[in-house]
Amino acid sequence: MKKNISTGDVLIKVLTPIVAVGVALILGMILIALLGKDVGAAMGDFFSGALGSTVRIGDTFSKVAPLTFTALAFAIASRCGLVNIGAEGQFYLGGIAAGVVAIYAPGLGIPAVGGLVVLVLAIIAGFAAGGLWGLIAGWLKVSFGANEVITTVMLNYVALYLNRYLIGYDGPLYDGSGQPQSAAFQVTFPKGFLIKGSDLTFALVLAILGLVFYYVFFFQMKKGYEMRVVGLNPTAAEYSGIKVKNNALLSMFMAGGFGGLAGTSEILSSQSRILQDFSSNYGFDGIAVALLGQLHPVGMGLSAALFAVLKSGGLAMGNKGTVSPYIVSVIQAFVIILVVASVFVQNEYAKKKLIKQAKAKKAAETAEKGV
Amino acid sequence: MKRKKGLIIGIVALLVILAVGLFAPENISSTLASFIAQDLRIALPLAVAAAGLVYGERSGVLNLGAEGLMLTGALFTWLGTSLMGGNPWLGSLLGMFSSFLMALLFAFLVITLRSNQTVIGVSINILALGLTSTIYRVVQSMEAPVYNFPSIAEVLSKLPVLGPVLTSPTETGVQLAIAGTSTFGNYLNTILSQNVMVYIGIAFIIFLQFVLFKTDLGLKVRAVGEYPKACDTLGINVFRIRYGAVLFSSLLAGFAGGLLVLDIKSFAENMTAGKGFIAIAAVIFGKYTPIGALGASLVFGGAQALQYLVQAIGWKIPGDLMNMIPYLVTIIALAGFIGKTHKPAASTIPYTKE
Repeated sequence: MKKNISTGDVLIKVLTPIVAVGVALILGMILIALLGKDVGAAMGDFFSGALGSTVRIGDTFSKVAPLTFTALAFAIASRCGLVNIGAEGQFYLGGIAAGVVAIYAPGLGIPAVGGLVVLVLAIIAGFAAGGLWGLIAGWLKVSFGANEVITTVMLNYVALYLNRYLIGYDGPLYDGSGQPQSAAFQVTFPKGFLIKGSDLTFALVLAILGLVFYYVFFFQMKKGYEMRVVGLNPTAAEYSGIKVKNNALLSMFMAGGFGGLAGTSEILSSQSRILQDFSSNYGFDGIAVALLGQLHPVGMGLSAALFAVLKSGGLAMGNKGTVSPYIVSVIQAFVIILVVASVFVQNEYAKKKLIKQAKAKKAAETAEKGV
Repeated sequence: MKRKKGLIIGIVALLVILAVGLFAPENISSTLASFIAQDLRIALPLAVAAAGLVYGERSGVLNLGAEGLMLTGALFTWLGTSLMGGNPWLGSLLGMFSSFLMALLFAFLVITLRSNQTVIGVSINILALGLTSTIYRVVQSMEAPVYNFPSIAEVLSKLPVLGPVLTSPTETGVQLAIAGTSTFGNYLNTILSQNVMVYIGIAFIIFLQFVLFKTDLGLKVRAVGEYPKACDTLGINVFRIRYGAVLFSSLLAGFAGGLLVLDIKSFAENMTAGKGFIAIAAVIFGKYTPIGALGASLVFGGAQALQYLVQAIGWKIPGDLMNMIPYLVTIIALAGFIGKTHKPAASTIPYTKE
């Protein structure tokens, strides 16, 4: 199949996500109306909650970092042909590891330097813990052929219960307060980054660096190219001497690592201790962010910002009691479905174009013969 | 040969269960009996969903949205049962219908539009989680008493002639006649005193096995999953078979979700908690056969029933660690069966008619 890239194709690529989001939002509003709620009031709560003031905007954008990282967790595996549904579990593992460092490392006599060393250690620990959690699914896949979708989902639940156990009444991290929670972090990411008084932290910068890394790795480096070849055609990769299994393992480690960074950035930005069920669905949000962004670094950054608004507006609606914040999941699902289904439309469009070209050619030929 | 191995394991397991009941001391036999009873109760929804998923998988469609179908079925079974004066039969019908509608969307996307089955499956789960939780918060106030399906003793007692022979009345209702006759009678009573749906479910799963391997329709389903192109040439409508298999399995998935609701008589957000995925694992672990899926479900159900066993023995293991076990067992089961599975050749590959 020869691909002719024209302005029409580019236009479709850019328009698809915009149309998808628009349609998904309309469907969401229809659902709110069907449930007998006041759509106008709900929208009002939504926008004032997400973007009502400068501080609110800052709070909303504090969600961009974890969303970007979980999107990367999906995208990196996806580029290698794997489906990582495990960002939720990797999020927990990363958050727990980073949290443990933030609780205990300052007591170990590590030079403080404004807590910077501890924070760097926490980030490394978060990446490593999430990475290893992702690696389990990768290892099960390459060594035993276990479907990674199922194993990552199972590992999500294992991670959820592991966290509950660790900070629960019988757990080693329980602080003895009567609430299932860990001791308080000694160091966290300083709040009020860029916007004073908001929850925004420099995790946002880390997330942007993550996107830059993603671009450089996959589109400038040989290893990333290899990984993409594995994702597009494992058989061809094997024949050209690329080690498919090693690439799969590395991609699951990296994917898990970014899932872990999501947990790290969330727990050290907006929480002061490890709490029960601390990931409000970030792992699954990441899938929608990645797909809406078409696995492109800029696209994912933009869709992370959009989903931050959706998530924070959804929470605001939930807090006001108008509509369940789960409405955001509905919108998310429609976004994914529409983006994925649009591939069909794009293919049909390409097919029609080819047929049209062929017909034109044939017509030209018959016309020539006629003369 | 391979299928015989499963049969032998099954017969040996039954003999061991009988032997323990006959010869073990009462404290051991009663612990085992309640473990088996719990296992059957927990395995039923998994097995029903998995047996249906076998059909979809055999036709070449991996429905990773099973979790979402079960959750949808659960909410609407609860709603239907609440609205119909607690009648579980009518409630289940609504649950099955709701799951059917979700599956129709899934089938249209992956069969007609040839979209990526994995991603669409996952998004069906997200959609179902969002929809059910949003709707539940609105209709929560409609809560009315929900009744489960009748127990086997209740059903048997209504039989003419045999009823009084097989069952005996108690102060609150009826029980199987074997209860209280002897230690072994009590043992069997604990195991057999199940909801009637356990019996119907197992019978239906055996029927599904028969249809899949001994009938023309079953052959068509399997052939479409192996070599759709050849089927198309022979005049078998690949799309129709795949739609049929996916929609049929959605009815069972919705019903299975409803069983979860009827079991605890209420709905909770995300109450399926991965059971749809465990059902898919049961399909793989059960080598893509309905009876195999039933066996696998009993293994996974047993992993969850372990917590009752641990409680009975008196070990103090934190509940959160116990809760991990079914998920860990599922992972181990998936990993332990490399190369031995019978994955259909055209699994997850969309069919394009030329």
